[in-house]
Amino acid sequence: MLPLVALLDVIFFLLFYFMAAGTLTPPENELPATLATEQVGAGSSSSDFTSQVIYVERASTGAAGPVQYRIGQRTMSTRSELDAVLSSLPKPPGIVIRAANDVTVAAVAEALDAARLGGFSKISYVSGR
Amino acid sequence: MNFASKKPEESELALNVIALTDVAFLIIIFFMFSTHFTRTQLRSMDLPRQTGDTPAETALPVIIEIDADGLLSLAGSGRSDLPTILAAAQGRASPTAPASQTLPDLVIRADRNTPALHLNELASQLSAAGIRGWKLATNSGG
Repeated sequence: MLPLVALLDVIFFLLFYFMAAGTLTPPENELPATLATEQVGAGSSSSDFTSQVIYVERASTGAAGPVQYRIGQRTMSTRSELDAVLSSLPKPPGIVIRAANDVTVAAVAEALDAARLGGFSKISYVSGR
Repeated sequence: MNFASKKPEESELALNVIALTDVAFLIIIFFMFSTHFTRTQLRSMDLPRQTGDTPAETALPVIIEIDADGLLSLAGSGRSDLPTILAAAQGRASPTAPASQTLPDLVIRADRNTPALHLNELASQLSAAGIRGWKLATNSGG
């Protein structure tokens, strides 16, 4: 009969190691963006369409106002509304995201993710309002 | 007559550890494949909760962190001065590397509650330094 005590010791040490060294935090993902100059989206596109701009801003003045997304004259207050509008836009020109200084990074990430899931491969980011 | 008593069976208490060993190995293999080791150089941060893309298995990225108060730091170095951060971001490209070479990613880890003001300021500095592409780290668990 094989002496299994030492083997079991090693097995349990390995087991405890992986349980302790592993983390319960979920893996991090990434949202790609390209930093755009101010000219991007202002008619310099070589395609028939120009890039649309998603403005991420507060609906009302003050830090407590809800975040809204604006594309041209259309204003969206929820992610589903933003997704619906983005799905109807032409994809080749890409899209530009411009976030106001008083919104949070979470709102910026929401716009980036909506653009990515909306099928845009060219996503640019312009700083400032 | 055979009075020799029957030899009593050895009542040795022997645990059957084969099944136990099998299960233990299976659990070890499960943890080995399912574990995501913590990147201990990174600060604990409440990242934006979006699905995002799975990071590509490329060279080690340059990671810039922005905490909830808007303080910048270069992950793994403890440096927080902007020139050092920008130099690290620019240093991703080797002067002798061919233009077609894929650069290590530039990843921005920003707390989800950080005002976009700080992200905008960093983006402006990166743009002024000639850096174009970057990625925003997200937490897919949200």
